[in-house]
Amino acid sequence: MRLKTLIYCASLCLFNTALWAAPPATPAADFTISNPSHIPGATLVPGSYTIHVVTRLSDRVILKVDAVNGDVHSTFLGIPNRELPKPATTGPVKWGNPADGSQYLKGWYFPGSASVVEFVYPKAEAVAIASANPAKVPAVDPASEGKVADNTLSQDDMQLLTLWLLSLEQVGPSSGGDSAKPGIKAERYTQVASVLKPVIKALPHTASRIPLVWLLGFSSLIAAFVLRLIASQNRASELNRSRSMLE
Amino acid sequence: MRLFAYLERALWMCGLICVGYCLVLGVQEWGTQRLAARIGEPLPSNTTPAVSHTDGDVIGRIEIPALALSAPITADYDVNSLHRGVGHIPGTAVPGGLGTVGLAGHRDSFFRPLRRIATRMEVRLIDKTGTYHYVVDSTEIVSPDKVDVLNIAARPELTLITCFPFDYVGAAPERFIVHAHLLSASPDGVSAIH
Repeated sequence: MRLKTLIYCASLCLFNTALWAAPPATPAADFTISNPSHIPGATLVPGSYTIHVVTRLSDRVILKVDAVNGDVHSTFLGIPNRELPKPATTGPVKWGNPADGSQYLKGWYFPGSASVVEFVYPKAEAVAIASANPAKVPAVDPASEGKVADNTLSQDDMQLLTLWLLSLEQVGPSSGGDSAKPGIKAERYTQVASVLKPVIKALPHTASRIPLVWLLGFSSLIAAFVLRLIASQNRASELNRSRSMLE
Repeated sequence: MRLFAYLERALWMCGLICVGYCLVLGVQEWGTQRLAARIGEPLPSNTTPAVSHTDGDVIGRIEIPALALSAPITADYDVNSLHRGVGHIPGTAVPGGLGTVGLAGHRDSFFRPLRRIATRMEVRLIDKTGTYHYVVDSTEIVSPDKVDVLNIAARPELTLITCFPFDYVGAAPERFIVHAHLLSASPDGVSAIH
């Protein structure tokens, strides 16, 4: 009886297509752009492109977009966001409002994926998007972590970059008082313990020698002046003495 | 008598060298201040936008209006940089950046007014992208090995570092730390309105 159940389960698994149709670990898609659109660190002009997931990490994915004609090769970060409503069709998800007059892609919905992969923009672009859209915009700031800020960021660096969320809020000393004004609030995406390497071994030594040098110089000049006075007084007294002896 | 004459000459020489050294540093500091004061100013209309007021060493300016503190920010915190301004600690965030900005300064020159700093005071960091506003949260006194004051926190922050005690003669044993947080990631002049 037990053997029969086992065989039944095994055959069920073997012939269940749903199990074999699970999404690939590194999904890819071809797409065509008819209007200029921005992705993190690059602008896509009308044409054909491919997008694929290069690496999946615990809290982020590394994505790559290539132009079919070879003009664009852009690698950037994305975060799977289960809170974003899944669109009816797979493909690009756009930000509702253009930022600085340009259309930015918000993310990508891969076939069979459980969530939309939201694109992570460099700080300046994320600020522009957050200023135009009432939502939290994922951002990174490689320059603030001692990394290059251009498109040559290595995948190792991408794995260690701190993720942030930028949103338009009233900011000010009292956060809501009279002095509050619209600003871009930044908060860390997660508190997941990334490998925090201290940037320096010890806090800088910040006592300068200038006051001591100044004091030494000033004292030397005073002492030299006093010596000169004593010497001239001695000379004068000697002169007086010799004069009185002559008289 | 001749000994006194030699001593006098040596003292004159020592005094003039020391005062001259201080004057040279003072002139350097004045030049850096002038350069930093021009950062963030609008460029003349006949200047191309690619031309910047900064040189490779001076990256911006720090201002604490309540303390009348204004100092250039240099790209590093080595001895020469700290004579010319407040040193940015490489590897920490850039002014207004997403992370913790680390700035170190001499307690007996640029950062001397920090002894009077209080919570909720405004700190401005000005660089070529604009002016960023920070608000002081707290101060603390730590040992030099407590480098975690520069760690990235839950929000963008600024850490000011100087030696403590302020009146100590020689290499002070502790560090005075000022923690502040960034109000807006967008600089002044960049609209943050829907």
